[in-house]
Amino acid sequence: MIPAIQVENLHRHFGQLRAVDGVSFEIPAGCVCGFIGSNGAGKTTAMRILATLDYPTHGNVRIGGVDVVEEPWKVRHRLGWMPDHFHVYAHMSVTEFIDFHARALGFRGAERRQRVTEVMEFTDLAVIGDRPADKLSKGMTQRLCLGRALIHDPEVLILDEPAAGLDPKARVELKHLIRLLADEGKTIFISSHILSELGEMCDSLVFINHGKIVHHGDAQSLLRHTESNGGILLDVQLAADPAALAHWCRMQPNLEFVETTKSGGRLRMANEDPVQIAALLARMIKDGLPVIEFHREQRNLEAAFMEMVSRTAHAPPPLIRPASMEQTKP
Amino acid sequence: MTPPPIPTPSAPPEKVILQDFPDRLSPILVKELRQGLRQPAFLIAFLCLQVLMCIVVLTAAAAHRGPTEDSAAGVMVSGFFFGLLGIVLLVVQPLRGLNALASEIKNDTLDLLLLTRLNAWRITSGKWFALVSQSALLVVAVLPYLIMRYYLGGMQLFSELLGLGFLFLVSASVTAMMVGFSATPSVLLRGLVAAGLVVFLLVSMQGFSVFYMFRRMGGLFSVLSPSTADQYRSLAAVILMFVFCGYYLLEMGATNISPAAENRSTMKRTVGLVMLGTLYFLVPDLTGMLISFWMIVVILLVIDAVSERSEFTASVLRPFHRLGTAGRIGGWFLLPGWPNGLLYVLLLGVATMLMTATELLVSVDVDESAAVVAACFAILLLPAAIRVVFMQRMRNPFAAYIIALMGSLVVGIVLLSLVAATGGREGVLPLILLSPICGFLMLGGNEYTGGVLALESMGAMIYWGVAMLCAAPHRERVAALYRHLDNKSENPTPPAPPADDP
Repeated sequence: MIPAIQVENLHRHFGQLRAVDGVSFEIPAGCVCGFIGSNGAGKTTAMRILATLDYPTHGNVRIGGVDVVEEPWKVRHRLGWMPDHFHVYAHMSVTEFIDFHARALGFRGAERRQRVTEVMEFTDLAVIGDRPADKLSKGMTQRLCLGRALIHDPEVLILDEPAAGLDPKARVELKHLIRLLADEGKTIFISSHILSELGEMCDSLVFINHGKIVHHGDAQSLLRHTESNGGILLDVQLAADPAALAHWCRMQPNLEFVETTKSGGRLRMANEDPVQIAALLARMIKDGLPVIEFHREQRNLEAAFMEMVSRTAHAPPPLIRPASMEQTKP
Repeated sequence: MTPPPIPTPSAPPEKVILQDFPDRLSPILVKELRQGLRQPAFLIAFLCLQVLMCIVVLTAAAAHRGPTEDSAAGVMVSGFFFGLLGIVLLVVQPLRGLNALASEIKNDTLDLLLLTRLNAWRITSGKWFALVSQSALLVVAVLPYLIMRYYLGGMQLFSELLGLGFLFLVSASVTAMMVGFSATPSVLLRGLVAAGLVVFLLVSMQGFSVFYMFRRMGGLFSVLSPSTADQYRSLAAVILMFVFCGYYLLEMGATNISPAAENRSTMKRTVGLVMLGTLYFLVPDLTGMLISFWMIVVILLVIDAVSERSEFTASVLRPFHRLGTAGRIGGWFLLPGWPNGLLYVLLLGVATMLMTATELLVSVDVDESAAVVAACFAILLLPAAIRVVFMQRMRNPFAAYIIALMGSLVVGIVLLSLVAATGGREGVLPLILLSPICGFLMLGGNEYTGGVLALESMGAMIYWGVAMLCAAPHRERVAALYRHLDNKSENPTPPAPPADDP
């Protein structure tokens, strides 16, 4: 079966900067895949190439088996794109905005009116159809953007930070809409900074850092991956100055002080042997640290992501020699 | 094929009724009209025009003492009519065009348009057509005042309607130029163009109104009412020039916003060549007129060809690849990007030499006209060479080229002034190779014409050669793209399943 999204050895160079550097992954049809990376990691560049808005320096990208460089117009029929920054036109109502995009996508007459109606109902925009499109709240604007991306009923949806800047209520509503679309069998490739929500929503996650894929799998595999390599985290609360904990940690073998918290600190232990954890607590008490809380931290995707980023943080952004500053895809 | 419905709500939705514009209109035109007719700039222009015309007609009617052949009241109304309408059509509407594509670029909405079925040309031309439609609406709305003016006497109906048509044509052409220029990302350049347009057109309009009021447009309308074949051909050439300049600037704007997979260059360069051929056969045997019009077109074509982005994908090359050797040769001149643009400039140079050679057989100032042509090429190619050698890092090649052009002109004029002030004109001749504008300014019926012609020609060839040397990496990339297409045609991949077209 042809994957919905197929990326092979994708490179995108801007002058000396390698924004995307040898990225490869596949997303089967009907899957929801999260795309995670810190700012400047190359997410938006890669997504823009997938959406035919940019082109690769090297490598191949296919949407439903169609090459985005060779036949971009065919790809555009198959995908819906939701950008991270979405501006709407002034002097235009919500209905007129959706209607314009339906016209621009080639819908005519009754079919156009039908599509506009369905999209506005699905995104709950029908009740505010007469309102100026540029006077909507952020949440409603994102719905409008999603509605625009859905007009031609695409097989693949590429959503770049759709929840950015939304309040919790709007975020929940947007998540609900995305779930409905996933239930319809659409392939959704979504980037977001709200990793816990992505973990719940996505079948797989692609982590990118400095233009390279650092992990591809489901949320559980990521947690296992980072945990097994990085040890376990312990959260310790003290009834005294947290600096004492940091000082104490420096003298302990196989123990690292990660960071100071509100009234204590976060420690990383090299292994998760329960006997050794108990011995650690006993040593703390014996050495006079007034421990009032000691527990193993429940890892979440944010922590795993931070772990992943910190591991690659020492590597500088990859540069290439000016001689290879080519822009055209062979 | 009807696409499957997306999640259906429990109750069947009521259909949205939006039938303000028919389906056959371009989507971008519909969008621009919906927005444009509500914009304050249009509403204010519309209302001001109505109020002022109303005041003028009422005042003239009060002062009217019966219809005469030479009614001062009638002439005054016509003067105000053309003056006010001219300001709106030649200043306000074109200035609105200067923001047309810039606002889409600034707000990142262009990407969303390009993901639809609209290509760069449809977007650009749709925006222009919407502005021209609004101009037409403004004209139609004030036509009743022209009819009322008829009763005040002294009206030349046919001539004034011709004048109105000419005004509208110029407005459409200037608006097209501004819409095309609005794709330039540099705010400074757009601001300079806007300021230049306002100053130039306000000065022109002042002359136009004064001329109209006191001379009653006799001279201008005689040009617009040709009687001989040569006059008809001259008028047709003038109209063609306005149409071409508007079209070409629109195409330049479309090229600026087009994605790397869309080729606009082949069409516009072909149209440019057709335009030159048409001018050659259309313009009557008045050497000065043909050379002037020809050089205006060539200057436009050269500036565009040497300042185009050089990025395109394999899909752009495919039509040339299919045509085999002929296609590859055509691609040298017609593929997008400044490296191929340089070869196109060579073609223009050869065509200009042929035109000059045939036309100058009937002319006395053979050398001087040839020197002017050579100087124009040298002046345009020097900044092209400067840009590709020193300014490759600037993201917008057109802005870089214009900066280099302005810089070279200013430096040339300063150098000429300094040298001429100290050592006379002989000392300037060697400077021509460094600053071709010096040679151009030295021309004027003197003994240096031959030397200027030789040095300007040599300079043009040197600058062209330098720029071509810098185009070598691009030629390698094009060759790689051709090899890629060769490989694909030898080992075709199985076709992808068809897309569900809406």
